[in-house]
Amino acid sequence: MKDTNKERLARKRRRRREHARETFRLFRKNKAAMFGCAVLLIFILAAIFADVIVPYEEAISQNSSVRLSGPSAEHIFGTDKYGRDVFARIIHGSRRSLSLGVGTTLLSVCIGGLIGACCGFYGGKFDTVVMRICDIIMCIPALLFALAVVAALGASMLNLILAITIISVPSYIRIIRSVIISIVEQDYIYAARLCGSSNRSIIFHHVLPNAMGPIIVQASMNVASMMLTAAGLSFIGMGVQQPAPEWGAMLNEARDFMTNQPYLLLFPGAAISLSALCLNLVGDGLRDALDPRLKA
Amino acid sequence: MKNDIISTAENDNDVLLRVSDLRVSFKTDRAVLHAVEGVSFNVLHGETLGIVGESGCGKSISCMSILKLIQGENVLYEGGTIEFEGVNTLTMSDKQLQKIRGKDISVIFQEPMTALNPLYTIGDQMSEALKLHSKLGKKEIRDRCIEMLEKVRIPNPREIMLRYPFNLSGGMRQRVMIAMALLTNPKLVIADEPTTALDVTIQAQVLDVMQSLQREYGCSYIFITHDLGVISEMADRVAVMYGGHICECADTDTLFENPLHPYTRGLIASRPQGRMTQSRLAVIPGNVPSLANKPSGCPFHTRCPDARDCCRERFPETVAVDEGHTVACWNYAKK
Amino acid sequence: MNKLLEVKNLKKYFPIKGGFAGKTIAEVKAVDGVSFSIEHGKVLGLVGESGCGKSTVGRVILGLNPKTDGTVLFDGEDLYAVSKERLRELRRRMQMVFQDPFSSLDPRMTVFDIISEGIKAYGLCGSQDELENRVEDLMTRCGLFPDQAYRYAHQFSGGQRQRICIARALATNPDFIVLDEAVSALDVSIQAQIINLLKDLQDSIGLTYLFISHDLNIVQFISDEVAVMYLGEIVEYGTKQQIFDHPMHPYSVALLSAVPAFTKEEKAKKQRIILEGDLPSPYDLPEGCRFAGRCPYSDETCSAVKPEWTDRGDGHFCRCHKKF
Repeated sequence: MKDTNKERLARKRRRRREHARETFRLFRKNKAAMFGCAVLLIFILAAIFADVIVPYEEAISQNSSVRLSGPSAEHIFGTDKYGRDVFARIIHGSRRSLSLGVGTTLLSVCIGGLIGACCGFYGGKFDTVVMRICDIIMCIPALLFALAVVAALGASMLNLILAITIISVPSYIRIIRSVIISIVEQDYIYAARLCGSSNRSIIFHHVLPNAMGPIIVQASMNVASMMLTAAGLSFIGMGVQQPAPEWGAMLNEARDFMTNQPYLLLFPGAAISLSALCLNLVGDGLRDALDPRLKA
Repeated sequence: MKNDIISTAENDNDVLLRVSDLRVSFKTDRAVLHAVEGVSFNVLHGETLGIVGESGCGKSISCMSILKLIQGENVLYEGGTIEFEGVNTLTMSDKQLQKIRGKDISVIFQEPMTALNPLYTIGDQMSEALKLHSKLGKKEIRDRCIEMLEKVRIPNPREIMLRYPFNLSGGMRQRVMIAMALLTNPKLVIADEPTTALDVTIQAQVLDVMQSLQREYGCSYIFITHDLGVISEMADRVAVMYGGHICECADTDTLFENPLHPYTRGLIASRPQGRMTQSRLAVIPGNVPSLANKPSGCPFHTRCPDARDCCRERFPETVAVDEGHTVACWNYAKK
Repeated sequence: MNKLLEVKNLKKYFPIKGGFAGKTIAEVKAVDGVSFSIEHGKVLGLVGESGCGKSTVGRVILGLNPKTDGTVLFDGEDLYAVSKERLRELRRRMQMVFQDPFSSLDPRMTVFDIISEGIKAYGLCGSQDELENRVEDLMTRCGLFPDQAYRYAHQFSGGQRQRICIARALATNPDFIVLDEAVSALDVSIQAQIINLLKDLQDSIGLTYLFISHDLNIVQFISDEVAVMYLGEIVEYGTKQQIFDHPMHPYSVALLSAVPAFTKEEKAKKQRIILEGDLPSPYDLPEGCRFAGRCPYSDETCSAVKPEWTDRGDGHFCRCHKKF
């Protein structure tokens, strides 16, 4: 009762489609993840269409007549100490902040993932050397290290991303390495070896897909702290340069007015925590939806 | 009622534990899974009841229900009674249960490494139960522990008392577990796959220790296992479980010599034993059903060689075919 | 003599690292001088208790762990002396089925991907059509339905998963399969199905098995020859009849007597010998016979002098000072 090839191909396509649909269904059923998705989408749209919503001019133009005025119809989030519109700064700041947070995270996951996977998979001298280097980097206070990197390379957005990536990679290497080590001990890795698969193919087909869950969770949790590190660097003048808007920098500026103008702290703070929270929710949802074990 | 059939042969005074029509279910997001569906059995004073079955047949769940060791929001005790010396343990409060747990009924688990707390010495853990359930002084407790360790044939019990669980081998740990279970002189010991994690020569030691302790203290055992050989060496009577039901119950020799239920027959035939001439083993076709997709009616009908229409529709009533030999199968049901 | 696999004086020591620089401070002698051979189409049963090194023997033969010493000849070729390309070709003909059907299948792969992995890696099928036909054929052969090919492993029961593992092992057209406790984790009624499947495959393809197990009943059923291992050494070796009907080593005798029987005749025949004590730790093994500490017949010679590996007639080997 051999089927014809056509039937088989159709069946295969159907199964693949079902898997995709099931993944999507699982993700959609997860209310928290959907909420996170929606909010993130708003942020991303705001970042893309920032100029349409409110001109960039408003975010940087200083106006001493409306310094530190609270939220009003004209300035719905109020104005800062230079009289700049906070709403406009948040909308325009989302571009930098989101790309800083997400960009550095992606970069460090990729680098940390690859190095960590090699450490966990091959072990031996390479592993020992890499781990000792990680220890050294982690011993140096993160901000100080980033400062040194930016100071050496010059202050710019790109160098900022680079600096933050360097300080966060070691922790990724450590986490991913330990995940990988537990996977490498599984019998299916031995079985793949016996099937004649090369190390490269084992890492990409077996090890990394199975390590995906913990990596996604770790990465989505780290985005917020990346943003804050960037803010800290911006604050001491090594990151985003004034007057360009950036959430972390705004937060730092607002410190002096904490008691009298709390809204200055509230809005950028809310933007950072909300985007971090939503990334977390989406990360959790993705991990669950991508795990074939949870599907019927 | 089913219960009457089973207890006809026995004097009520001999019955230590009477489980009748026990039903336990688990609630999940998708459905309610019926793990145990109307299980009835008795344990007499001083006997060993063996319960044998494959994974997911409900053997552990029905026995752990006796002490309500499985608890939680999603566990439903849907019916039945468990009478221990005439008192229903299912309706007891947690406080009352605690008095019975570890004193009158104790449990030996499969994995001795996880059942012992790695942070306390063997001596600490052993004396805990005695502190709770007896009025003995410190020295008496210590002496009693050492005496019990000697009984399970552990060399240098005084020294072992000061050791931690990870210092001991698997067989030693399991013997410590047995010593702990019998410290308070319980009337019933539930042994859940106590030798499954052990090697055969160590298993032989442990089984031997369990038998000699039973002779000495006269306690009853419920011995849960999937190993037909172990059950046949240990048990006086055997109950065979499949899909949440007891499908056959008889004394050990009868069950192995004259199995009636098709599942029992298949199970015994599929185990290689001694020198065999045939080149293939007898086989029960199909897979062990999972709780989530249990077949209707008699759960064995999907794998049974003589399944009929009635098997698919309804679970057969348990009938006594002989004294003390009950079977739940349409082949033997009263027409 | 047509030996497919010959193992000579195989040793595998696991170093225990310690100290600041990770120096080797001790060695666990997991396998210590094991020799045996398996003829084409035969089954060698390797029995012993946990920690005796039986699984390590299988893994070292397949190259999953490097050996410490000794030779492994496969079809007359020394696996540790041939070229890399030749080794890869030889390895294709040797496969393994693991004990745990849950950890031995990648949860992120479909059955099709799992089975086809070896075929692809060795380039055994030219076209996609051929590949699909081959996977379908393997699945049917192992009692699976081909329309389940695009499901994930977790959607199968333990017995079916073990069938997938067997199909995967067969995918590279092997001659020799190491079955490492391949049925131990399965339910009793499923074990018989898998054993029958293994026997059928052996008959139809002419496979050779190394059947590693602690379950003596099953070993007696499936094996042609049996080797009994204790603490890294083979203590007795012979045909199935020799070992099960006339065991010579006191350990084999005790091991056989410890297996619980369930039929009345078997029970009546049994005389249970209960060994005292546990296996000694593999860190510091006794000087003489390794079994001396637990042996009911041991004397001073046993604990001082290591017994020789001697032929007691008709290829029945035993490592013991005494003759019973």
